Amino acid sequence: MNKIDDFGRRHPRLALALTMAVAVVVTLILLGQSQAPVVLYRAF
Amino acid sequence: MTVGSLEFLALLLLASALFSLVPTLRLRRAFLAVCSAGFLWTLIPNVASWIALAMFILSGYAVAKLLRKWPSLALLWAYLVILLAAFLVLKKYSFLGFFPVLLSIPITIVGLSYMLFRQIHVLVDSMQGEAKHLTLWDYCNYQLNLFTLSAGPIQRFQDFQQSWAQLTPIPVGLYELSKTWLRILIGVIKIAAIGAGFLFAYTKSYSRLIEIGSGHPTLFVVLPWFIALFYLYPLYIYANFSGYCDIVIGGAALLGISLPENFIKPYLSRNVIDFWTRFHRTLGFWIRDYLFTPLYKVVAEQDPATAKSYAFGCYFIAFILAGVWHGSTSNFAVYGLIHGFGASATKLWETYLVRTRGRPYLKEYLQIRWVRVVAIAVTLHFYAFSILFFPGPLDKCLAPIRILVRALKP
Repeated sequence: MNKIDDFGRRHPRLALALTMAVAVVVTLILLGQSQAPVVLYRAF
Repeated sequence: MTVGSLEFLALLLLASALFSLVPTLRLRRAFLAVCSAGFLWTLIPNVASWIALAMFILSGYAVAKLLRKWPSLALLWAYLVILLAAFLVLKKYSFLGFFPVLLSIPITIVGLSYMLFRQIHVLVDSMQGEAKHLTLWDYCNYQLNLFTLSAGPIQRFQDFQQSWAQLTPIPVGLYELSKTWLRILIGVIKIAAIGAGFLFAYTKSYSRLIEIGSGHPTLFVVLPWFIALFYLYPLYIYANFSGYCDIVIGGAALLGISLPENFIKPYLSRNVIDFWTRFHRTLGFWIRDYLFTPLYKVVAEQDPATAKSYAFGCYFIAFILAGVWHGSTSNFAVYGLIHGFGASATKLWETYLVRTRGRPYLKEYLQIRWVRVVAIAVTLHFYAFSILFFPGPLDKCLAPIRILVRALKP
């Protein structure tokens, strides 16, 4: 994890680009679902 | 609005951007309070629920202040009895079916169980003088914080106060910010894609097993579906709940609140006691601090000579209560009972090793590699077995086990 952190700190824009790419994937996943994600422990 | 929905993420992005521009602590607190109030607004359905929520929280605050000034075990117990009775009614526990009027009250409060945990913690800590500088404004923000409101983690008031005293975004710099958002987004993937996939596969396997079980299936037909059920639900629970925790811990950090971690590689635990310090660990610590330890103290003070043997009973009581907290049906009591058995067995095995081989051997024993691997495998399967009693009413949970047992008979 430290190595990833070191790399990320040296290349913050790369980390941002990765985050944006994951954000696009997440948006597509959520748009493709008929209902919002259900959190099981919310029912307790 | 639910945590992990698209609108939640969009509003979180907007709120965190605005929050970083707010200049003073007082305004940042007001900003977070408005966000929490807005979130709560989407969850509370009617006026009766608002009134019940206000009574629940305000009474807790008032009694905590009283206990701080005049520590009294009698007052604490009297209030706890009333609080728990109110909790049972508001959560509509099934045994209250004898009083249909109680079950028909149109009150719904999301996150009430977690509020109960926080309330009991503040009451006990106030009485013990450990919760200081308790103000109504701070307490309401602590109880109704949007990130811990619906499903934890169970943050301690003292930890909340530390964040509340500064309330500045925790991730600093582009990389830390990206990393925090990445955690939130991965959390959403865990809930919406991975967890949802496991749940879908579990539901299909369950239906198929029930369908097969209606005939006279052989073990070879039943076993694959049972094994699928056995492993899929633990995977679903982990993906779903740890994903939720990733979202709220990351989201809270963006708005200046440091939340405790709730999962630390739980399926690598080497026994049940270890498991509860890794899985939903804030609940595990709560059970230890506010159920097990006080219970054990009481019995140990009565009879110090045999105190150790009482620990087993305390484990059972603590875990059954924790199990029942999960829901109003009897399957959760069974779930708690199984974990009480697991914790007692762990302690019993440890005591046996210390008595027969000495404490230095126990340290050596815990370091043995194959023992560790076996212990992890046993704990994982023990947990997977206990979780068979999680998905619904007892009859539904027992159905796959009944089918397997029937198939085992020649």
